[in-house]
Amino acid sequence: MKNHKKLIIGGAIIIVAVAVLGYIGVMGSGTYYYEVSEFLGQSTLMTDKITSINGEISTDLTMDDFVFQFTLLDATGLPVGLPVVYQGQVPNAFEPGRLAVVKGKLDATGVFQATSIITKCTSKD
Amino acid sequence: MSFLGNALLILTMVTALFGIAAFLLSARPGRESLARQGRQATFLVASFMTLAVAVLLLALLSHDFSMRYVYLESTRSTPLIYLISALWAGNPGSLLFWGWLVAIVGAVLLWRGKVSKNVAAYTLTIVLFTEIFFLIIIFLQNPFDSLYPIPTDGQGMNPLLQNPGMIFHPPALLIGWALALAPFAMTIGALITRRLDSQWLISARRWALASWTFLGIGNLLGAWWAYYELGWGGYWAWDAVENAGLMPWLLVTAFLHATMMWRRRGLNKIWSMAFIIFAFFLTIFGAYLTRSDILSSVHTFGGTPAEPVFVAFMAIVLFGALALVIKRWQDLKDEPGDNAIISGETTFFVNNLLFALATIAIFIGTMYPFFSHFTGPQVEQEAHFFNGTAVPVFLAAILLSGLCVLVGFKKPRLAHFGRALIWPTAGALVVTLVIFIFFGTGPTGKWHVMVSWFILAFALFATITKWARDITQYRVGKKGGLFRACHHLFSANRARYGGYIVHIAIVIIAVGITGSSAYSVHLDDLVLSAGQPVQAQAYTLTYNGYTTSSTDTPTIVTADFELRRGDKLLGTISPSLNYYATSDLLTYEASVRSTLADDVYISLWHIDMSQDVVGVSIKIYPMVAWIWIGSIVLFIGGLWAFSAPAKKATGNEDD
Repeated sequence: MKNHKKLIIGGAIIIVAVAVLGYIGVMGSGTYYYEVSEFLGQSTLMTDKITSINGEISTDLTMDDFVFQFTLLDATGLPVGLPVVYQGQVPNAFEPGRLAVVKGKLDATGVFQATSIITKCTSKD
Repeated sequence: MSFLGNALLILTMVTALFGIAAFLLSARPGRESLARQGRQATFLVASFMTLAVAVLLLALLSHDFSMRYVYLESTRSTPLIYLISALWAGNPGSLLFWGWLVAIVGAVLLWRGKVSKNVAAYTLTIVLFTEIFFLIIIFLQNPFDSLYPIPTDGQGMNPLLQNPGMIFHPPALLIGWALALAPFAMTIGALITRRLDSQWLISARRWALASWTFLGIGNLLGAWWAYYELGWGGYWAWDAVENAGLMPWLLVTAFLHATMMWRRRGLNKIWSMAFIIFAFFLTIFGAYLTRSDILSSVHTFGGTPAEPVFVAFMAIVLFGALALVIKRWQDLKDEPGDNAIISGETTFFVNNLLFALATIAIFIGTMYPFFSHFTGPQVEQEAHFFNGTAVPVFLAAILLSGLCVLVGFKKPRLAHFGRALIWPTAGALVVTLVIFIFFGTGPTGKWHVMVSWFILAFALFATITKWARDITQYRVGKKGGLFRACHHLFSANRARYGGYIVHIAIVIIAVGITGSSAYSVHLDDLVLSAGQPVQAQAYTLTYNGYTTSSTDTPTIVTADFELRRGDKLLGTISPSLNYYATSDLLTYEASVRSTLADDVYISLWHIDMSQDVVGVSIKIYPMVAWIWIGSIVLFIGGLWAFSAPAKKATGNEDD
């Protein structure tokens, strides 16, 4: 292959790939990510889509009959909270005051049914 | 201590500025002697930074809580090894540590850089310039900040970070990132002075190989730590910060391959430039990601006042370097190629493309939340985006690694190449068929999993075939046994055979990844009473009650699970809950039974002591152990290649 031809082919493939990747990203697979206040501030609450929500675990965290329940407070400081229930392995550093990202769906009664929880790595100061 | 640390930082800053001025002025005719001052400044910068790190270390070891950083990252009861690792555990400390490594890179470049003097002046200017960037962000998030009133004890590093992972993973990555500066700075120096010669090529490759080895090990240690730490998403979660560590590694890999062709055939010049520039850019970009608010990630340190400094430095690096490449475009013209389709030229060209594509896919996926924020709600790309884009590209690269080995660097004779293909292809087909017969039913028999197995087996067999051919050729007309032949080939061609070992390591790691992701079983929210068995694949697990030990802090509640396959008792797995009464902290310790075939991974998330009922999560990950075995092989391969004596430039010594 001629060298300039190779550069052109290479460049073209990369441009096409970027377009395709962007398209894949837009069309589909992503998960919406909200702060608690953003999520609750929507005109119609989303109940059909799996969503990730970032917030702070409130001190009302309880564990009853193998179900974790807590309010996820807004991490930006607005006075709103989202009730969350979850059953399963919680991560380390899962405790009140900690920032966490919960993933799951809002049910019809306004309770967020989480299917996974991650806490932020604590290496920040 | 605070004062001393700050004084050293200021001294470093002044010396670095002086060094840059000296180097730049030394380019003028008649001022050549100034370069000597520049070199002295480079040594002084390294000395001052070493002292600064020593001051912080001393403050940590002597519990000097008048320093905020010491208060935040350590306590009087912190074990020695974590006092040392506190150096890089927090954001300000990690920046100081990185800045120190950059200064050391400068000093080692001076000492053994093997670059000609003109190139060295510019190379070291780039190093000192990078050092100044680090000094500015260190000042903005100063590890030497003082604290008043002086507390009697520290707050201490989070207990989660007191893990062997903390001792090795961050320094390995930081060393890898710092080393990536060297080939970048040498390349810029060579571009400015128009000395893109073989001396530059060999030195830059050696530094790149050192960086590559540390980055690879750093990433794999991170994977190992995340695998055992609950809630970090397993060995790889495509987290933004994990990706930030992976991308420079991919591009340094690409640089090492592209420059092989440059050295032998004078090809891939623009590609090589692009790879090393973007590799260095991405190391800084990764640091920026973890220290800014532009992406939320499990790892981030949180926002920083240094953001504009980062952005400015990254812009200078990227646009400056790219402008220089465009200016030197004529020098970067490739030699004429062989115009053949089946040729080393083509395989290496495709290799360039694949590494570029994988990096672009990961970059887009990682930055997607940032881009999407402009058009509406923030959208995150999850594992399946990366698994659907970057992973197929990786598999293609592994397939290519097999083909490359068979094709070689030039145009092979077609008949030879065809014959060379037979054994690896046949072997891979047999392996795939056997896997299909035994594990091919249900979801695990998906076609893409089978294609993965074929590719991995092919790459492995191709490399082995190549070895076998080398050995046979070597033994023609020579005395000595098989062992002798192997020994000779491996020690005479360290760079090439180091590369082959790495290829095999990658296959081994990929086997672990394929096995554990395609065949894993997750039982996440089980609630079990004592004596109640549960089935997971071929295993039966029975909860057998708990024990409590409270002789010491923390209070540890351990649940015992009996593991059987059929009637055969295999052992007991005992995850635990640890309760630290003093800080009212509960931590979860998973327990893993690891064999070459699979890992049985159990974690406990709740225990009702009065009823003797536990909430557990059980996971079976096949073949994970191979990831760690492959990691060790990878390290050996990297070291083996690095141990090759620096050779003279021309020649086809390794062909």
